[in-house]
Amino acid sequence: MTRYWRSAFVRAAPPVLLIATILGVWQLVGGGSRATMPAPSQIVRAFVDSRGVLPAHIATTLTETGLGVVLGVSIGVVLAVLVTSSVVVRRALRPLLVISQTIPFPVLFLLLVLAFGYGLTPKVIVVALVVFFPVTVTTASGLEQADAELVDLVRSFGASRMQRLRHVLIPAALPPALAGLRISLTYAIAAAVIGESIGARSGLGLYIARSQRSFRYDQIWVGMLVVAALSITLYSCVYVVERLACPWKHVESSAGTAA
Amino acid sequence: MNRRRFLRSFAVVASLAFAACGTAKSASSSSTPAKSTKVTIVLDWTPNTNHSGIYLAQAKGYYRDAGLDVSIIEPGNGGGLPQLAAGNAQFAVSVAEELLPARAQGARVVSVAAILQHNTSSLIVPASRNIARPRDLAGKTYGGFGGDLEKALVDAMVTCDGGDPGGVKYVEIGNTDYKIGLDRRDFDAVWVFDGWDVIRLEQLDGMKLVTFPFHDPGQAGRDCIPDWYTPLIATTDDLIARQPDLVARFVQATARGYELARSDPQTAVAALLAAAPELDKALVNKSAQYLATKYADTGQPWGRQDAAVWATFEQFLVAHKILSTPVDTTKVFTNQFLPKS
Repeated sequence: MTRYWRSAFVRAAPPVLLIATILGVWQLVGGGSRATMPAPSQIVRAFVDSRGVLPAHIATTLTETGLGVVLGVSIGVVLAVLVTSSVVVRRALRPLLVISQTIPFPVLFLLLVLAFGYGLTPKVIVVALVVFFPVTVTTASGLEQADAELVDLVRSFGASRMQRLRHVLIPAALPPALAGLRISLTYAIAAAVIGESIGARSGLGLYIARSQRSFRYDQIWVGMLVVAALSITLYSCVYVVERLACPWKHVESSAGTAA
Repeated sequence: MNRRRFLRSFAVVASLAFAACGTAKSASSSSTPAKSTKVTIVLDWTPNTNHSGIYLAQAKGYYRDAGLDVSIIEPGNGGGLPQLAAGNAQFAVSVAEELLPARAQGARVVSVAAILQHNTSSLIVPASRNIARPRDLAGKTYGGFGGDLEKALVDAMVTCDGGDPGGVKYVEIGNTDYKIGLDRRDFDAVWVFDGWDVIRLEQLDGMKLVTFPFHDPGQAGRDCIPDWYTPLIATTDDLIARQPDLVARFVQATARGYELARSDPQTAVAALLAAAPELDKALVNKSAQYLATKYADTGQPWGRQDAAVWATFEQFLVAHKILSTPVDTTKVFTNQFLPKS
Protein backbone atom coordinates (compact mmCIF):
# COMPACT_ATOMS: atom_id res chain seq x y z
CA MET A 1 0.00 0.00 0.00
CA THR A 2 2.74 2.48 0.94
CA ARG A 3 4.60 1.52 -2.20
CA TYR A 4 1.44 2.12 -4.21
CA TRP A 5 0.98 5.58 -2.73
CA ARG A 6 4.64 6.43 -3.16
CA SER A 7 4.57 5.54 -6.85
CA ALA A 8 1.27 7.42 -7.29
CA PHE A 9 2.91 10.46 -5.71
CA VAL A 10 5.98 10.19 -7.91
CA ARG A 11 3.77 10.04 -10.97
CA ALA A 12 1.42 12.84 -9.92
CA ALA A 13 4.00 15.26 -8.56
CA PRO A 14 5.56 16.59 -11.79
CA PRO A 15 2.32 17.66 -13.52
CA VAL A 16 0.85 19.03 -10.27
CA LEU A 17 4.00 21.03 -9.57
CA LEU A 18 4.16 22.33 -13.11
CA ILE A 19 0.52 23.43 -13.09
CA ALA A 20 0.94 25.02 -9.65
CA THR A 21 4.00 26.94 -10.86
CA ILE A 22 2.23 28.14 -14.01
CA LEU A 23 -0.78 29.27 -11.96
CA GLY A 24 1.50 30.98 -9.42
CA VAL A 25 3.41 32.93 -12.07
CA TRP A 26 0.17 33.72 -13.88
CA GLN A 27 -1.32 35.06 -10.64
CA LEU A 28 1.69 37.36 -10.25
CA VAL A 29 1.72 38.73 -13.80
CA GLY A 30 -2.03 38.53 -14.52
CA GLY A 31 -4.25 41.60 -14.42
CA GLY A 32 -7.79 42.55 -13.44
CA SER A 33 -11.16 41.84 -15.03
CA ARG A 34 -10.48 43.89 -18.16
CA ALA A 35 -6.91 42.70 -18.78
CA THR A 36 -6.44 40.31 -21.69
CA MET A 37 -4.63 37.99 -19.25
CA PRO A 38 -6.62 38.26 -16.03
CA ALA A 39 -5.11 36.57 -12.97
CA PRO A 40 -6.51 33.10 -12.12
CA SER A 41 -8.10 34.53 -8.96
CA GLN A 42 -9.90 37.10 -11.13
CA ILE A 43 -11.16 34.34 -13.44
CA VAL A 44 -12.43 32.39 -10.44
CA ARG A 45 -14.19 35.53 -9.20
CA ALA A 46 -15.79 36.05 -12.63
CA PHE A 47 -16.90 32.41 -12.60
CA VAL A 48 -18.52 32.86 -9.20
CA ASP A 49 -20.18 36.11 -10.36
CA SER A 50 -21.50 34.35 -13.47
CA ARG A 51 -22.89 31.33 -11.63
CA GLY A 52 -26.43 32.69 -11.96
CA VAL A 53 -26.35 33.01 -15.76
CA LEU A 54 -24.06 30.14 -16.73
CA PRO A 55 -26.44 27.18 -16.18
CA ALA A 56 -28.95 28.44 -18.76
CA HIS A 57 -26.18 29.11 -21.31
CA ILE A 58 -24.64 25.69 -20.69
CA ALA A 59 -28.04 24.03 -21.08
CA THR A 60 -28.58 25.75 -24.45
CA THR A 61 -25.14 24.83 -25.74
CA LEU A 62 -25.46 21.22 -24.59
CA THR A 63 -28.93 20.92 -26.14
CA GLU A 64 -27.63 22.15 -29.49
CA THR A 65 -24.62 19.87 -29.23
CA GLY A 66 -26.73 16.86 -28.21
CA LEU A 67 -29.25 17.29 -31.01
CA GLY A 68 -26.46 17.95 -33.50
CA VAL A 69 -24.55 14.87 -32.38
CA VAL A 70 -27.61 12.62 -32.62
CA LEU A 71 -28.35 13.97 -36.09
CA GLY A 72 -24.70 13.81 -37.16
CA VAL A 73 -24.15 10.27 -35.89
CA SER A 74 -27.34 9.05 -37.55
CA ILE A 75 -26.33 10.59 -40.87
CA GLY A 76 -22.77 9.33 -40.40
CA VAL A 77 -23.80 5.73 -39.82
CA VAL A 78 -26.28 5.71 -42.70
CA LEU A 79 -23.67 7.20 -45.02
CA ALA A 80 -21.06 4.66 -43.85
CA VAL A 81 -23.42 1.78 -44.64
CA LEU A 82 -24.24 3.30 -48.04
CA VAL A 83 -20.61 3.99 -48.87
CA THR A 84 -19.52 0.43 -48.02
CA SER A 85 -22.51 -1.18 -49.67
CA SER A 86 -21.42 -0.51 -53.23
CA VAL A 87 -18.53 0.95 -55.20
CA VAL A 88 -20.86 3.12 -57.28
CA VAL A 89 -22.43 4.73 -54.21
CA ARG A 90 -18.97 5.34 -52.75
CA ARG A 91 -17.78 7.01 -55.94
CA ALA A 92 -20.92 9.14 -56.06
CA LEU A 93 -20.79 10.28 -52.43
CA ARG A 94 -17.11 10.81 -51.80
CA PRO A 95 -16.73 14.26 -53.44
CA LEU A 96 -19.85 15.52 -51.65
CA LEU A 97 -18.54 14.28 -48.31
CA VAL A 98 -15.26 16.10 -48.82
CA ILE A 99 -16.96 19.28 -50.03
CA SER A 100 -19.15 19.28 -46.92
CA GLN A 101 -16.00 19.63 -44.81
CA THR A 102 -14.58 22.54 -46.80
CA ILE A 103 -17.43 24.97 -46.10
CA PRO A 104 -16.23 27.84 -43.88
CA PHE A 105 -18.63 27.57 -40.94
CA PRO A 106 -18.82 31.26 -39.95
CA VAL A 107 -19.97 32.09 -43.50
CA LEU A 108 -22.42 29.21 -43.50
CA PHE A 109 -23.82 30.48 -40.19
CA LEU A 110 -24.63 33.88 -41.65
CA LEU A 111 -26.74 32.21 -44.33
CA LEU A 112 -28.31 29.70 -41.92
CA VAL A 113 -29.28 32.50 -39.54
CA LEU A 114 -31.02 34.36 -42.37
CA ALA A 115 -32.83 31.18 -43.33
CA PHE A 116 -33.65 29.73 -39.88
CA GLY A 117 -33.37 32.65 -37.46
CA TYR A 118 -31.71 32.69 -34.07
CA GLY A 119 -33.00 29.47 -32.59
CA LEU A 120 -31.42 26.06 -32.24
CA THR A 121 -31.67 24.98 -35.89
CA PRO A 122 -28.58 26.67 -37.41
CA LYS A 123 -26.35 25.42 -34.58
CA VAL A 124 -27.74 21.88 -34.73
CA ILE A 125 -27.09 21.80 -38.49
CA VAL A 126 -23.50 22.92 -38.10
CA VAL A 127 -22.79 20.55 -35.19
CA ALA A 128 -24.20 17.70 -37.30
CA LEU A 129 -21.98 18.79 -40.19
CA VAL A 130 -18.94 18.69 -37.94
CA VAL A 131 -19.87 15.38 -36.34
CA PHE A 132 -21.02 13.25 -39.24
CA PHE A 133 -17.79 13.24 -41.23
CA PRO A 134 -15.40 11.53 -38.78
CA VAL A 135 -18.19 9.09 -37.87
CA THR A 136 -18.78 8.24 -41.54
CA VAL A 137 -15.09 7.71 -42.22
CA THR A 138 -14.33 5.61 -39.15
CA THR A 139 -17.53 3.56 -39.33
CA ALA A 140 -16.98 2.86 -43.02
CA SER A 141 -13.42 1.74 -42.43
CA GLY A 142 -14.63 -0.46 -39.56
CA LEU A 143 -17.24 -2.07 -41.81
CA GLU A 144 -14.69 -2.59 -44.57
CA GLN A 145 -12.19 -4.13 -42.22
CA ALA A 146 -14.68 -6.64 -40.85
CA ASP A 147 -13.05 -9.98 -41.42
CA ALA A 148 -14.32 -11.09 -44.83
CA GLU A 149 -13.52 -14.72 -44.06
CA LEU A 150 -15.51 -14.46 -40.84
CA VAL A 151 -18.49 -13.06 -42.79
CA ASP A 152 -18.19 -15.95 -45.26
CA LEU A 153 -17.84 -18.42 -42.43
CA VAL A 154 -21.01 -17.38 -40.59
CA ARG A 155 -22.82 -17.18 -43.91
CA SER A 156 -21.80 -20.80 -44.66
CA PHE A 157 -23.38 -21.72 -41.33
CA GLY A 158 -26.57 -20.14 -42.66
CA ALA A 159 -26.46 -16.81 -40.80
CA SER A 160 -29.03 -14.34 -42.07
CA ARG A 161 -28.14 -10.82 -43.14
CA MET A 162 -29.32 -9.51 -39.73
CA GLN A 163 -27.29 -12.12 -37.92
CA ARG A 164 -24.17 -11.25 -39.90
CA LEU A 165 -24.74 -7.62 -38.99
CA ARG A 166 -25.37 -8.43 -35.34
CA HIS A 167 -22.48 -10.81 -34.77
CA VAL A 168 -19.76 -9.71 -37.17
CA LEU A 169 -20.26 -6.30 -38.74
CA ILE A 170 -21.45 -4.25 -35.75
CA PRO A 171 -18.76 -5.59 -33.40
CA ALA A 172 -16.19 -4.77 -36.08
CA ALA A 173 -17.48 -1.27 -36.79
CA LEU A 174 -18.36 -0.16 -33.25
CA PRO A 175 -14.87 0.56 -31.88
CA PRO A 176 -13.75 2.75 -34.80
CA ALA A 177 -17.19 4.42 -34.94
CA LEU A 178 -16.98 5.34 -31.25
CA ALA A 179 -13.41 6.56 -31.72
CA GLY A 180 -14.66 8.75 -34.56
CA LEU A 181 -17.44 10.06 -32.35
CA ARG A 182 -14.96 10.83 -29.58
CA ILE A 183 -12.86 12.91 -31.98
CA SER A 184 -15.80 14.78 -33.44
CA LEU A 185 -17.28 15.57 -30.03
CA THR A 186 -14.25 17.68 -29.18
CA TYR A 187 -15.19 19.94 -32.11
CA ALA A 188 -18.94 19.67 -31.63
CA ILE A 189 -19.24 22.01 -28.64
CA ALA A 190 -16.83 24.50 -30.18
CA ALA A 191 -18.94 24.51 -33.36
CA ALA A 192 -22.10 25.24 -31.36
CA VAL A 193 -20.32 28.02 -29.47
CA ILE A 194 -19.04 29.68 -32.66
CA GLY A 195 -22.57 29.51 -34.03
CA GLU A 196 -23.97 31.16 -30.92
CA SER A 197 -21.48 33.99 -31.10
CA ILE A 198 -22.75 34.76 -34.61
CA GLY A 199 -26.39 35.00 -33.58
CA ALA A 200 -28.26 33.49 -30.66
CA ARG A 201 -30.64 34.13 -27.82
CA SER A 202 -28.77 32.02 -25.30
CA GLY A 203 -25.68 29.83 -25.05
CA LEU A 204 -22.02 30.00 -24.08
CA GLY A 205 -21.15 31.67 -27.39
CA LEU A 206 -23.56 34.48 -26.54
CA TYR A 207 -22.06 34.73 -23.05
CA ILE A 208 -18.60 35.07 -24.61
CA ALA A 209 -19.77 37.58 -27.26
CA ARG A 210 -21.46 39.81 -24.67
CA SER A 211 -18.41 39.61 -22.41
CA GLN A 212 -16.12 40.50 -25.29
CA ARG A 213 -18.19 43.49 -26.27
CA SER A 214 -18.17 44.92 -22.78
CA PHE A 215 -14.45 44.13 -22.58
CA ARG A 216 -14.72 41.59 -19.77
CA TYR A 217 -11.80 39.35 -20.59
CA ASP A 218 -12.13 37.46 -17.32
CA GLN A 219 -15.58 36.30 -18.45
CA ILE A 220 -14.20 35.29 -21.84
CA TRP A 221 -11.75 33.05 -19.97
CA VAL A 222 -14.59 31.62 -17.92
CA GLY A 223 -16.51 30.82 -21.13
CA MET A 224 -13.45 29.24 -22.69
CA LEU A 225 -12.73 27.10 -19.64
CA VAL A 226 -16.35 25.97 -19.37
CA VAL A 227 -16.32 24.92 -23.04
CA ALA A 228 -13.08 23.02 -22.43
CA ALA A 229 -14.49 21.32 -19.32
CA LEU A 230 -17.65 20.28 -21.17
CA SER A 231 -15.62 18.94 -24.09
CA ILE A 232 -13.43 16.89 -21.75
CA THR A 233 -16.51 15.56 -19.98
CA LEU A 234 -18.16 14.48 -23.23
CA TYR A 235 -14.92 12.95 -24.47
CA SER A 236 -14.60 10.95 -21.25
CA CYS A 237 -18.23 9.84 -21.43
CA VAL A 238 -17.71 8.38 -24.91
CA TYR A 239 -14.50 6.75 -23.68
CA VAL A 240 -16.46 5.03 -20.90
CA VAL A 241 -19.15 3.97 -23.38
CA GLU A 242 -16.43 2.60 -25.63
CA ARG A 243 -15.02 0.44 -22.83
CA LEU A 244 -18.45 -0.80 -21.81
CA ALA A 245 -19.65 -1.45 -25.35
CA CYS A 246 -16.47 -3.06 -26.59
CA PRO A 247 -15.00 -4.88 -23.59
CA TRP A 248 -13.06 -7.23 -25.88
CA LYS A 249 -11.14 -4.26 -27.26
CA HIS A 250 -10.07 -3.21 -23.80
CA VAL A 251 -8.97 -6.74 -22.85
CA GLU A 252 -6.98 -7.08 -26.06
CA SER A 253 -5.19 -3.81 -25.68
CA SER A 254 -4.32 -4.27 -22.01
CA ALA A 255 -3.11 -7.80 -22.78
CA GLY A 256 -0.99 -6.23 -25.51
CA THR A 257 0.50 -3.72 -23.08
CA ALA A 258 1.26 -6.41 -20.51
CA ALA A 259 3.05 -8.58 -23.04
CA MET B 1 -18.18 49.12 -30.01
CA ASN B 2 -15.79 50.11 -32.72
CA ARG B 3 -17.03 50.95 -36.14
CA ARG B 4 -17.01 47.44 -37.49
CA ARG B 5 -20.37 48.05 -39.05
CA PHE B 6 -18.81 49.65 -42.14
CA LEU B 7 -17.20 46.45 -43.14
CA ARG B 8 -20.53 44.90 -42.50
CA SER B 9 -22.41 47.36 -44.68
CA PHE B 10 -20.98 45.64 -47.73
CA ALA B 11 -22.34 42.34 -46.57
CA VAL B 12 -25.62 44.09 -45.84
CA VAL B 13 -25.87 45.52 -49.32
CA ALA B 14 -25.03 42.14 -50.79
CA SER B 15 -27.64 40.33 -48.77
CA LEU B 16 -30.21 43.05 -49.35
CA ALA B 17 -29.70 42.62 -53.05
CA PHE B 18 -31.40 39.26 -52.83
CA ALA B 19 -33.58 39.98 -49.84
CA ALA B 20 -35.02 43.22 -51.18
CA CYS B 21 -37.33 41.48 -53.59
CA GLY B 22 -39.04 39.71 -50.71
CA THR B 23 -41.46 41.78 -48.72
CA ALA B 24 -41.66 41.79 -44.97
CA LYS B 25 -43.90 39.11 -43.62
CA SER B 26 -46.85 40.63 -41.90
CA ALA B 27 -46.79 40.90 -38.17
CA SER B 28 -49.30 38.33 -37.06
CA SER B 29 -52.15 40.58 -36.07
CA SER B 30 -54.95 38.80 -34.33
CA SER B 31 -58.66 39.27 -34.78
CA THR B 32 -59.35 39.79 -31.10
CA PRO B 33 -58.03 43.12 -29.87
CA ALA B 34 -57.38 41.67 -26.41
CA LYS B 35 -54.65 39.46 -27.83
CA SER B 36 -51.28 41.12 -28.32
CA THR B 37 -49.52 41.40 -31.66
CA LYS B 38 -46.19 39.68 -32.04
CA VAL B 39 -43.42 42.05 -33.07
CA THR B 40 -39.70 41.40 -33.53
CA ILE B 41 -36.98 44.02 -33.34
CA VAL B 42 -33.42 43.09 -34.27
CA LEU B 43 -30.67 45.10 -32.59
CA ASP B 44 -27.56 46.30 -34.42
CA TRP B 45 -25.11 44.79 -31.95
CA THR B 46 -24.84 43.13 -28.56
CA PRO B 47 -27.34 44.76 -26.13
CA ASN B 48 -25.90 48.02 -24.87
CA THR B 49 -26.97 51.40 -23.52
CA ASN B 50 -28.05 52.57 -27.00
CA HIS B 51 -30.86 50.03 -26.60
CA SER B 52 -31.91 51.15 -23.11
CA GLY B 53 -35.27 52.55 -24.19
CA ILE B 54 -36.23 49.31 -25.91
CA TYR B 55 -35.37 47.22 -22.86
CA LEU B 56 -37.16 49.72 -20.61
CA ALA B 57 -40.29 49.61 -22.77
CA GLN B 58 -40.16 45.83 -22.46
CA ALA B 59 -39.42 45.75 -18.71
CA LYS B 60 -41.91 48.46 -17.77
CA GLY B 61 -44.71 46.90 -19.82
CA TYR B 62 -45.03 49.81 -22.29
CA TYR B 63 -45.10 47.36 -25.18
CA ARG B 64 -47.66 45.21 -23.39
CA ASP B 65 -49.79 48.29 -22.73
CA ALA B 66 -49.65 49.01 -26.46
CA GLY B 67 -50.89 45.50 -27.22
CA LEU B 68 -47.52 44.31 -28.43
CA ASP B 69 -45.63 41.13 -27.64
CA VAL B 70 -42.10 42.23 -28.53
CA SER B 71 -39.12 39.95 -28.88
CA ILE B 72 -35.75 41.66 -28.91
CA ILE B 73 -33.16 39.84 -30.97
CA GLU B 74 -29.43 40.48 -30.95
CA PRO B 75 -27.99 40.03 -34.40
CA GLY B 76 -24.53 38.58 -34.03
CA ASN B 77 -22.27 39.52 -36.91
CA GLY B 78 -24.79 40.09 -39.64
CA GLY B 79 -26.48 43.21 -38.27
CA GLY B 80 -30.21 43.78 -38.07
CA LEU B 81 -31.05 45.30 -41.45
CA PRO B 82 -30.76 42.09 -43.50
CA GLN B 83 -33.21 40.42 -41.09
CA LEU B 84 -35.60 43.34 -41.60
CA ALA B 85 -35.29 43.18 -45.37
CA ALA B 86 -35.65 39.39 -45.28
CA GLY B 87 -38.95 39.77 -43.45
CA ASN B 88 -37.74 38.05 -40.27
CA ALA B 89 -38.37 41.20 -38.22
CA GLN B 90 -40.65 44.23 -38.28
CA PHE B 91 -38.10 46.63 -36.83
CA ALA B 92 -34.33 46.89 -36.72
CA VAL B 93 -31.78 49.12 -35.07
CA SER B 94 -29.61 50.51 -37.83
CA VAL B 95 -27.56 53.58 -38.77
CA ALA B 96 -27.89 56.19 -41.51
CA GLU B 97 -24.76 54.95 -43.27
CA GLU B 98 -26.34 51.51 -43.53
CA LEU B 99 -29.86 52.66 -44.37
CA LEU B 100 -28.96 54.97 -47.26
CA PRO B 101 -26.94 52.41 -49.26
CA ALA B 102 -29.66 49.82 -48.58
CA ARG B 103 -32.26 52.26 -49.90
CA ALA B 104 -30.06 52.95 -52.93
CA GLN B 105 -29.99 49.19 -53.56
CA GLY B 106 -33.76 49.11 -53.62
CA ALA B 107 -34.52 47.88 -50.10
CA ARG B 108 -37.62 49.75 -48.89
CA VAL B 109 -36.36 50.49 -45.39
CA VAL B 110 -37.28 53.63 -43.44
CA SER B 111 -36.05 55.27 -40.24
CA VAL B 112 -38.91 55.96 -37.80
CA ALA B 113 -36.89 57.36 -34.87
CA ALA B 114 -33.39 58.61 -34.10
CA ILE B 115 -32.12 56.84 -30.99
CA LEU B 116 -29.42 59.47 -30.41
CA GLN B 117 -30.02 63.02 -31.56
CA HIS B 118 -26.42 63.51 -32.74
CA ASN B 119 -23.51 61.39 -33.84
CA THR B 120 -21.65 60.56 -30.63
CA SER B 121 -18.63 58.87 -32.17
CA SER B 122 -15.07 60.14 -32.23
CA LEU B 123 -11.65 59.59 -33.63
CA ILE B 124 -9.45 58.86 -30.64
CA VAL B 125 -5.68 58.86 -30.21
CA PRO B 126 -3.63 58.05 -27.12
CA ALA B 127 -2.36 61.30 -25.57
CA SER B 128 1.23 60.07 -25.93
CA ARG B 129 1.24 60.27 -29.74
CA ASN B 130 1.70 64.02 -30.20
CA ILE B 131 -1.52 64.40 -32.13
CA ALA B 132 -3.18 67.57 -30.88
CA ARG B 133 -5.49 68.30 -33.82
CA PRO B 134 -6.76 66.47 -36.89
CA ARG B 135 -4.07 67.68 -39.29
CA ASP B 136 -1.43 66.04 -37.05
CA LEU B 137 -2.80 62.69 -38.28
CA ALA B 138 -0.72 63.11 -41.45
CA GLY B 139 2.21 60.73 -41.07
CA LYS B 140 0.30 58.69 -38.48
CA THR B 141 -1.59 55.44 -38.82
CA TYR B 142 -5.35 55.01 -38.70
CA GLY B 143 -6.67 51.61 -37.67
CA GLY B 144 -9.93 50.88 -39.47
CA PHE B 145 -12.21 48.29 -40.92
CA GLY B 146 -11.74 48.98 -44.61
CA GLY B 147 -14.93 50.96 -45.15
CA ASP B 148 -15.11 53.84 -47.64
CA LEU B 149 -16.93 56.07 -45.17
CA GLU B 150 -14.20 56.02 -42.55
CA LYS B 151 -11.58 57.00 -45.11
CA ALA B 152 -13.83 59.79 -46.42
CA LEU B 153 -14.36 61.10 -42.88
CA VAL B 154 -10.68 61.05 -41.96
CA ASP B 155 -9.79 62.69 -45.28
CA ALA B 156 -12.39 65.41 -44.76
CA MET B 157 -11.33 66.09 -41.19
CA VAL B 158 -7.60 66.30 -41.98
CA THR B 159 -8.09 68.38 -45.14
CA CYS B 160 -10.48 70.72 -43.38
CA ASP B 161 -7.88 71.32 -40.67
CA GLY B 162 -5.27 72.22 -43.30
CA GLY B 163 -3.45 68.87 -43.26
CA ASP B 164 -2.44 66.44 -45.98
CA PRO B 165 -4.89 63.52 -46.04
CA GLY B 166 -2.54 61.57 -48.31
CA GLY B 167 -0.11 61.36 -45.39
CA VAL B 168 -2.47 59.26 -43.27
CA LYS B 169 -1.59 55.57 -43.34
CA TYR B 170 -4.35 52.97 -43.05
CA VAL B 171 -4.21 49.50 -41.52
CA GLU B 172 -6.97 47.00 -40.92
CA ILE B 173 -7.80 46.29 -37.31
CA GLY B 174 -9.37 42.96 -38.08
CA ASN B 175 -11.53 41.12 -35.61
CA THR B 176 -9.66 42.16 -32.46
CA ASP B 177 -9.91 44.61 -29.61
CA TYR B 178 -8.75 48.02 -30.88
CA LYS B 179 -7.16 48.76 -27.49
CA ILE B 180 -4.53 46.10 -28.08
CA GLY B 181 -3.56 47.68 -31.41
CA LEU B 182 -3.40 51.13 -29.79
CA ASP B 183 -1.25 49.79 -26.93
CA ARG B 184 1.08 47.99 -29.33
CA ARG B 185 1.28 51.07 -31.57
CA ASP B 186 0.02 49.12 -34.58
CA PHE B 187 -2.02 52.26 -35.22
CA ASP B 188 -2.41 55.69 -33.61
CA ALA B 189 -6.05 56.52 -34.24
CA VAL B 190 -9.30 54.60 -34.24
CA TRP B 191 -12.99 55.48 -34.61
CA VAL B 192 -15.14 54.54 -31.62
CA PHE B 193 -18.32 55.44 -29.77
CA ASP B 194 -18.05 58.03 -26.99
CA GLY B 195 -20.79 56.41 -24.92
CA TRP B 196 -19.11 53.01 -24.79
CA ASP B 197 -15.48 52.85 -25.88
CA VAL B 198 -14.29 56.28 -24.72
CA ILE B 199 -15.88 55.63 -21.32
CA ARG B 200 -14.19 52.23 -21.24
CA LEU B 201 -10.72 53.57 -22.12
CA GLU B 202 -10.76 56.78 -20.09
CA GLN B 203 -12.91 55.99 -17.08
CA LEU B 204 -12.37 52.26 -16.60
CA ASP B 205 -8.90 51.67 -18.02
CA GLY B 206 -7.47 55.07 -17.05
CA MET B 207 -6.09 55.76 -20.52
CA LYS B 208 -5.21 59.34 -21.48
CA LEU B 209 -6.84 60.15 -24.80
CA VAL B 210 -7.15 62.98 -27.27
CA THR B 211 -10.59 62.76 -28.88
CA PHE B 212 -11.93 64.37 -32.05
CA PRO B 213 -15.72 63.99 -31.89
CA PHE B 214 -17.18 63.99 -35.42
CA HIS B 215 -20.11 66.13 -34.37
CA ASP B 216 -18.37 69.05 -32.72
CA PRO B 217 -19.34 72.21 -34.64
CA GLY B 218 -16.68 74.90 -34.64
CA GLN B 219 -13.85 72.55 -33.70
CA ALA B 220 -10.86 72.16 -36.00
CA GLY B 221 -11.69 70.11 -39.08
CA ARG B 222 -15.26 69.37 -38.01
CA ASP B 223 -17.03 71.92 -40.21
CA CYS B 224 -16.54 69.66 -43.22
CA ILE B 225 -18.22 66.69 -41.56
CA PRO B 226 -22.00 66.42 -41.42
CA ASP B 227 -23.98 65.11 -38.49
CA TRP B 228 -26.02 61.93 -39.01
CA TYR B 229 -28.35 59.57 -37.21
CA THR B 230 -26.54 56.66 -35.58
CA PRO B 231 -28.21 54.58 -34.27
CA LEU B 232 -31.83 54.79 -35.36
CA ILE B 233 -34.90 52.53 -35.52
CA ALA B 234 -35.88 51.29 -38.97
CA THR B 235 -38.90 49.53 -40.41
CA THR B 236 -40.14 48.93 -43.96
CA ASP B 237 -42.34 50.93 -46.36
CA ASP B 238 -44.42 47.81 -46.61
CA LEU B 239 -45.27 47.62 -42.89
CA ILE B 240 -46.01 51.36 -42.80
CA ALA B 241 -48.41 50.96 -45.71
CA ARG B 242 -50.19 47.91 -44.34
CA GLN B 243 -50.09 48.40 -40.55
CA PRO B 244 -49.42 52.05 -39.73
CA ASP B 245 -51.18 51.61 -36.41
CA LEU B 246 -48.78 48.84 -35.40
CA VAL B 247 -45.79 51.02 -36.30
CA ALA B 248 -47.21 53.93 -34.30
CA ARG B 249 -47.87 51.77 -31.23
CA PHE B 250 -44.36 50.34 -31.34
CA VAL B 251 -42.61 53.67 -31.88
CA GLN B 252 -44.64 55.42 -29.18
CA ALA B 253 -44.05 52.69 -26.60
CA THR B 254 -40.34 52.79 -27.48
CA ALA B 255 -40.35 56.57 -27.11
CA ARG B 256 -41.77 56.16 -23.59
CA GLY B 257 -38.85 53.87 -22.85
CA TYR B 258 -36.26 56.35 -24.08
CA GLU B 259 -37.90 59.24 -22.24
CA LEU B 260 -37.54 57.17 -19.06
CA ALA B 261 -33.89 56.40 -19.91
CA ARG B 262 -33.31 60.16 -20.15
CA SER B 263 -34.92 60.97 -16.81
CA ASP B 264 -33.92 57.86 -14.86
CA PRO B 265 -30.64 56.30 -16.07
CA GLN B 266 -30.50 53.99 -13.02
CA THR B 267 -33.72 52.26 -14.05
CA ALA B 268 -32.33 51.95 -17.57
CA VAL B 269 -29.22 50.26 -16.17
CA ALA B 270 -31.35 47.80 -14.22
CA ALA B 271 -33.50 46.93 -17.26
CA LEU B 272 -30.49 46.42 -19.53
CA LEU B 273 -28.53 44.35 -17.01
CA ALA B 274 -31.58 42.21 -16.28
CA ALA B 275 -31.74 41.35 -19.98
CA ALA B 276 -27.98 41.00 -20.50
CA PRO B 277 -26.37 40.29 -17.12
CA GLU B 278 -23.10 39.35 -18.85
CA LEU B 279 -22.35 43.03 -19.57
CA ASP B 280 -19.84 44.89 -17.46
CA LYS B 281 -21.85 46.70 -14.76
CA ALA B 282 -19.46 49.62 -14.32
CA LEU B 283 -19.39 50.29 -18.05
CA VAL B 284 -23.17 50.10 -18.41
CA ASN B 285 -23.62 52.39 -15.42
CA LYS B 286 -21.32 55.15 -16.65
CA SER B 287 -22.54 54.81 -20.21
CA ALA B 288 -26.19 55.17 -19.15
CA GLN B 289 -25.39 58.35 -17.23
CA TYR B 290 -23.61 59.76 -20.27
CA LEU B 291 -26.28 58.81 -22.81
CA ALA B 292 -29.13 60.18 -20.69
CA THR B 293 -28.08 63.61 -21.99
CA LYS B 294 -27.58 62.40 -25.57
CA TYR B 295 -30.81 60.61 -26.51
CA ALA B 296 -32.34 64.00 -27.31
CA ASP B 297 -31.42 67.66 -27.02
CA THR B 298 -32.43 69.31 -23.76
CA GLY B 299 -36.08 70.33 -23.80
CA GLN B 300 -36.79 68.35 -26.99
CA PRO B 301 -38.73 65.09 -27.24
CA TRP B 302 -36.90 61.89 -28.15
CA GLY B 303 -36.65 60.52 -31.65
CA ARG B 304 -37.05 63.55 -33.96
CA GLN B 305 -35.21 63.53 -37.26
CA ASP B 306 -34.42 66.59 -39.28
CA ALA B 307 -34.74 66.58 -43.08
CA ALA B 308 -31.67 68.79 -43.40
CA VAL B 309 -29.50 66.32 -41.44
CA TRP B 310 -30.49 63.48 -43.78
CA ALA B 311 -30.03 65.60 -46.90
CA THR B 312 -26.60 66.89 -45.88
CA PHE B 313 -25.34 63.44 -44.97
CA GLU B 314 -26.65 62.00 -48.24
CA GLN B 315 -24.82 64.73 -50.16
CA PHE B 316 -21.63 63.91 -48.29
CA LEU B 317 -21.95 60.23 -49.20
CA VAL B 318 -22.64 61.06 -52.85
CA ALA B 319 -19.76 63.57 -52.99
CA HIS B 320 -17.39 60.92 -51.64
CA LYS B 321 -18.75 58.27 -54.01
CA ILE B 322 -19.93 56.08 -51.14
CA LEU B 323 -23.39 56.31 -52.65
CA SER B 324 -23.21 55.75 -56.39
CA THR B 325 -26.82 56.77 -56.92
CA PRO B 326 -28.54 59.62 -55.06
CA VAL B 327 -31.29 58.71 -52.62
CA ASP B 328 -34.48 60.69 -52.04
CA THR B 329 -33.90 61.50 -48.37
CA THR B 330 -37.48 62.64 -47.81
CA LYS B 331 -38.48 58.98 -48.13
CA VAL B 332 -35.73 57.65 -45.86
CA PHE B 333 -37.22 58.85 -42.60
CA THR B 334 -40.49 59.88 -41.01
CA ASN B 335 -41.44 61.54 -37.73
CA GLN B 336 -45.14 60.71 -38.17
CA PHE B 337 -45.18 57.83 -35.67
CA LEU B 338 -43.52 59.66 -32.80
CA PRO B 339 -45.71 60.83 -29.89
CA LYS B 340 -47.40 64.13 -30.70
CA SER B 341 -45.93 66.76 -28.45
